[in-house]
Amino acid sequence: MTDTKNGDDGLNRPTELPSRDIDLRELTDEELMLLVQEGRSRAYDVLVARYKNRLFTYLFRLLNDRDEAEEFAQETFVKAYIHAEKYRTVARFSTWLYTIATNLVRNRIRAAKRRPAMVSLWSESAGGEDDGKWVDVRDDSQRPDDDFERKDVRGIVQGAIGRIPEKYRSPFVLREMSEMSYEEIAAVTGLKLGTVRSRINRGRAHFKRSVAPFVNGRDCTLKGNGK
Amino acid sequence: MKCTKAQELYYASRDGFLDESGRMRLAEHLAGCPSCALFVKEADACLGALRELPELSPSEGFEWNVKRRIHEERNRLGLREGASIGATRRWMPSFALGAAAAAAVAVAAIFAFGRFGAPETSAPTVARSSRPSGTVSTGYVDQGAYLDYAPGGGYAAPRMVSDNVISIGTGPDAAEESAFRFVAGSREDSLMRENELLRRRIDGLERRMILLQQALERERAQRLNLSLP
Repeated sequence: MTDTKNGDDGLNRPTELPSRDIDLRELTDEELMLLVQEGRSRAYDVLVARYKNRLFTYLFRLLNDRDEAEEFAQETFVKAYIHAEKYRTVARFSTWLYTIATNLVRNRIRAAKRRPAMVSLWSESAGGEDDGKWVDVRDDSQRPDDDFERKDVRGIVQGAIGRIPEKYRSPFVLREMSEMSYEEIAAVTGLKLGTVRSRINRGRAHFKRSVAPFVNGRDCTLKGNGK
Repeated sequence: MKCTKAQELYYASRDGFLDESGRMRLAEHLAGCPSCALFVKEADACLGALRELPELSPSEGFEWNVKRRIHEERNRLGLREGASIGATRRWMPSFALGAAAAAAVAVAAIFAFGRFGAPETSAPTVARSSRPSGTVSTGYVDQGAYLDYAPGGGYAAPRMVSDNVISIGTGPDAAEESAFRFVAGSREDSLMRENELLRRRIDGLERRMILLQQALERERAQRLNLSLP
């Protein structure tokens, strides 16, 4: 039970906030978030610097597109800052951040399923140059990034991750690449522990199916020009 | 043991959930089942390949863009500097009372002085914030630029830290809290404003050139008239 009279609001706050003199980089994520909740935006700089690479990498593995990954990473940090008051120190900051990112990606994938990728083309009519109009046609072409990525081992692996069905991909990446525990993945994805386990294993099976043709069984390394 | 069960045990072993007896059962099965042994070898190789993928970095302007977008989002939601949504909700009642009091004073002043129109020439309007003296706050000026107050009451020249980021204040607190303050949103905003100012200058110069050409024409016509018999 919480005691609101004594200021105990169940947030597991430390008795005193760190003073302004302390090096913010020495603080834990949770301590930094408490400072952010107190309005010290500089503390958030440290969190962004600490997590930008990890979050960007996670999103790139899910989306296989640098621009999109960067856009979603920025949006995740913006949402985390704007809703900082909702953060409770009972959960790890990283779990909370990944939850926001995963939900953003999930919503984006749902929206993309409803609306296929389109590209605008200028269509000239018989009346001459000025009488044309823009028409949207479905864009089934590969992204330039795809061609580039497919040229090396990393591309093969990244491509295989991209081919894992979306519902298995997040748990798989969180487990195999972000090295989260099953409990953390359950918190991030909102799934039950048993479902998390089965989805990770199904993701592994999909991934293995894509990559296995390139595997050199003798020395357990990938064939090709691996770096 | 069935092969599907052996594969489950293998994954459990990867995740560190397999006890000693489970490990022994798995090892026994693998010793007598070449297809499962191959499965494990391939799975080890495939999943091991994930470790070859490096951690990636976003673009150089990533952190700046995060700050810009936080600033824009906060403006859109009408949040104070350094505030998140929850903090503002707590702060709203006092703001509402203050705003109501200010509105009442303004109405009273209008009726008392009977003046409704704004003066023809006015100084740039600045939204003063009520910070205690000694700290320095920002203000928003008509032309889209920010100025900040010197503690004595006059305007202090803003100091640009980087594109659109303004350092305000003189004390350590101001330096601490200036990270998320921007002159006006994004770099694109700034360039667009600059572009607009240049366009206006060009318009002005073009108008001036037309006037000078007209004056020149008049002058030529007068001279021509004078020289005619």
